[in-house]
Amino acid sequence: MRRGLARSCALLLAVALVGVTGAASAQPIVDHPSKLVFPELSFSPPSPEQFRVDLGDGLVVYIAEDPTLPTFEMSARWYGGSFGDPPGKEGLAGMAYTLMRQGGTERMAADDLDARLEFLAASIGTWAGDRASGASVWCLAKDTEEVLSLMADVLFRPAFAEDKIRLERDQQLQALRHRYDSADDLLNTRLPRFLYGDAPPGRLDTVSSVSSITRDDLVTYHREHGVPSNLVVCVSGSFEKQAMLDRIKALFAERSREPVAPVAHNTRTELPGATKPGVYLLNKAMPEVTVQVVHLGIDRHNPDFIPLQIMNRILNSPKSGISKRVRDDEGLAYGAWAFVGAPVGYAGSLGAGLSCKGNDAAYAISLALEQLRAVREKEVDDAELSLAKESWLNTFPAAFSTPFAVLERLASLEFDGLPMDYYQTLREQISKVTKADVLRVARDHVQPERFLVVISGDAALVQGGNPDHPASVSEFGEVRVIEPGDPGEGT
Amino acid sequence: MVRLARCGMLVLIALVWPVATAMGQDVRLDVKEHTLSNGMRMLVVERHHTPRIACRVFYRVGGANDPEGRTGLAHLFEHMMFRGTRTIGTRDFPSEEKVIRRIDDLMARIDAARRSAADADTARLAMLKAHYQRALDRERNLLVTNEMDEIYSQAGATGLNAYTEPDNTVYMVEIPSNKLELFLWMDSDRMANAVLREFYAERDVVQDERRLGHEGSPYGYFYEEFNAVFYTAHPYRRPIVGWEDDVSRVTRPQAQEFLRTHYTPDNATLILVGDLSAEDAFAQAERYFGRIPRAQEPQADLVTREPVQHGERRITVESTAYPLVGIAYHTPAFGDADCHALDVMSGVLNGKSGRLYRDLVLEKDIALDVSASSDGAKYAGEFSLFAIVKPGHTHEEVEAALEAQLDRISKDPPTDTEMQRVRNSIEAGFVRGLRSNGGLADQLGSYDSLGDWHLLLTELQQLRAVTSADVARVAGRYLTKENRTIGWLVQKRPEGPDAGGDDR
Repeated sequence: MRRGLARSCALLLAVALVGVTGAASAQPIVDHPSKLVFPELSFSPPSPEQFRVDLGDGLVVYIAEDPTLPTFEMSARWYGGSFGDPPGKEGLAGMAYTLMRQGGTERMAADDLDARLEFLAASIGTWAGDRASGASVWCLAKDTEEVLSLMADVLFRPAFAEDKIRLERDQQLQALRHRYDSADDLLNTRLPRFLYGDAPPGRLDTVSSVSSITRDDLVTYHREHGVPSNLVVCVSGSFEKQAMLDRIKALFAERSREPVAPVAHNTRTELPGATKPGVYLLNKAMPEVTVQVVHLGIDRHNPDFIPLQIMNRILNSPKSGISKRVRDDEGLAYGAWAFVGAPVGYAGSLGAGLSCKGNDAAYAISLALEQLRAVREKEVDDAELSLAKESWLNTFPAAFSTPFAVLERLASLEFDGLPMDYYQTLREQISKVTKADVLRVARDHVQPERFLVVISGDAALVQGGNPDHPASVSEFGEVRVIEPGDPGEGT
Repeated sequence: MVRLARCGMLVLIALVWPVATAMGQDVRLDVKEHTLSNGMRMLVVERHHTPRIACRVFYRVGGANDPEGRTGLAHLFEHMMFRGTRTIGTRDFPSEEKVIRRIDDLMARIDAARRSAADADTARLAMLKAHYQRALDRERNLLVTNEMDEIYSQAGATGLNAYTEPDNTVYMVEIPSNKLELFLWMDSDRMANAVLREFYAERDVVQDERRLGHEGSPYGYFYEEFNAVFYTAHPYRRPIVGWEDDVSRVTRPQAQEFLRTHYTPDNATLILVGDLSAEDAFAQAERYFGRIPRAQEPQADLVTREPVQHGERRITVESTAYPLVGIAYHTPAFGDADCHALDVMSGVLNGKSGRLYRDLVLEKDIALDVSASSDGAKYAGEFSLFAIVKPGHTHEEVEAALEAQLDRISKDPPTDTEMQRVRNSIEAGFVRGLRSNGGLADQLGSYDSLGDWHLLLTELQQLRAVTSADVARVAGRYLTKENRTIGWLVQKRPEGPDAGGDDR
């Protein structure tokens, strides 16, 4: 304390003297931040071995004792999700996992479970994604035992109470009927079908499919899929490690003996049923439009993932990217961005999105397309490449912001079938990307002739254009105006 | 000598606060506190688990400080703070400054021409606009667009953003721990040398934001109008984004004056949480922020206080949103002992197992959702309830059920179980708030702005001490008919209003 005060005073005094004499200080303030010199940041990403414990029979745990806060946090994930819903029952996995938590358990009615968890200020959640499902827990450390036994009931003895099924179904139906309310929601609802056709990523929950889901369906789903034997658990908090491992093993002892195969890698970029290139104008009377210029791109295991992410960063650069061009230079869009989605197991979407006034849409789209074409025409400049790489490298430690976040990152590698030394080698992988690499992946993966231009908004405004900057949507391919039908059915 | 004396006045306090939680475990919160030579406060928490630092600058100025007729200025100004400085965002500031003055002059003449009685003089207006456009083009050629973004982005910063509250404006960014000096350079430069460039374009952006906000959120107009009826005199009655007409008239010189008055080091607190050394941070901050002079005059406190209300107020707003009933009562400002009991009361009413949800949603089945909140702000407080009316039921039914639940609090005070549920929830909320560096920095900043960051800890103890009888007492004291405002949001008819018809 005293030393601190003395040092601060000494430093102030030094500053004061400089002020008085005007002499060059040892540390004058530079006139531009580009002249600042920073100490080296030594950051070694955590390695999985520190945290990983294989409890056998498919149960893998990433565990970290964290005595800094009196809390307990856990997540679990396993394979299987909504892509497995049978045709006509779309929404089944989502509803089953939601109601495992919301529908009460054999030992406790749903409202009593809510009340007990609220009393403890704890939370238990269950969820279904497209190819994975899971559960999570957060509570104060003192309540860990009680909350974990409630969790076991939720996972293995859900009651699926009829009144809660009705409530959940009504809420879902209400949401489905309102999914064309904004231009944004309309586009997001309809886009997957354009891209994926009848393949699982293109299938939608509908009023018919959700209405057809019965309690028997949920009970059967839970029995057959519930919690399979192979799963990855993350757990951190204020506990003793070995005792917690024993507790986790006991918690999941009731899980199904049937393992589920991991998600298969899929580097295809075309799926059956995808739509022809051209302009698809979803007509909705709104002053603002939302647009995506898009085609299928890569899955997470594509070897070009890293150079493509760098390309995407360049397309989103504050110096020269799509947003700079469309929003800052031209003042046209509320937002504009490029994207390279890379989900595990199937090709994601690649392209650009923007929202703007209806009559500016054609011109804004032409600017976005110009940028998407430019990146495959010539090499990006050194400064752009360096900005993209530096910003990724420098932001990278942010992914490990809490002990629990560290575990989740590492568990994802294992779960998604990525190399376990991914974070150890990422720095080198990013550093070695060259301008030639960016040009190559842009040419291989950005294919302007394949773009769908999907626009949600007022067709008359969009087609009318703006005399201040002439452009027409017909420049981007055959224009098909689509009158959205029933939002509930996604037609 | 003067400087030595100032050095002697430095306050450097390091306190380790063990906060005993209910289960007897300690949460250690080691906040190091320091005041720079120019009066700027600093709070630092060292947490070394990740090489990142959450940075916040809290300025103790917000929407409530907007001068009369210039509502929205604090918020507009927050936007302007990302446009750069005399160094950042420009190729040649001396030339740009001349263009900026030219733009100010032209804009003043355009505004005057637009508003003059002889606004038929469209030729003159068109000529002024042409000059204005040329000046804008000249300015644009001198700019380095998004330079602040670019510098921070290259450095690996995330979450560069800001927000405006009634009493605070908060600037935030998270940086790698080796880039503390970059943050100090950038944010001290912004405090001392902000340039309000492209001001009038940003003014339009804010108007768009206002329109979009209201169109995108159907409740926007309701809350704005409700608030304007709830307060009659206090500046809290005004929307932070400003009244549309005020925002359309605000000028760059007025914003410049706002900067000079409020963006001074002695009106700000710098909060750093993460992988850093507090001593080093204090010394570095003295180099960068310490060179900025303190305000010439002390910050003026807000004068107008909300007068006592003498009877129930009602308002009806039409919208396409779900129908809603809102009830709000005036309560004391932050710091009053009754605030804690009011907070606990909102906890008793809230949640799926709270009294409101159980009664209105689960049992009576007349509302889709319902919530209560208690907000003791710097100058005044508010206890409010909002419920979404379930289709097929009426506003009268929902209002009566809400009132009945409020009456019940005095007659049927919270049980031990209800009280314990609320205490547990407050405790867990406190602990959750400490998890991330940014979350902790925000909490420290909010309490510091209300007078003292230690309140973060003492408030927790005071909330724990609230009894069921305290809750019943404050319910009787504040939840009175003459102290309330009731708002109904009713569904707008598609064909427009019929005279004298029931428009629900």
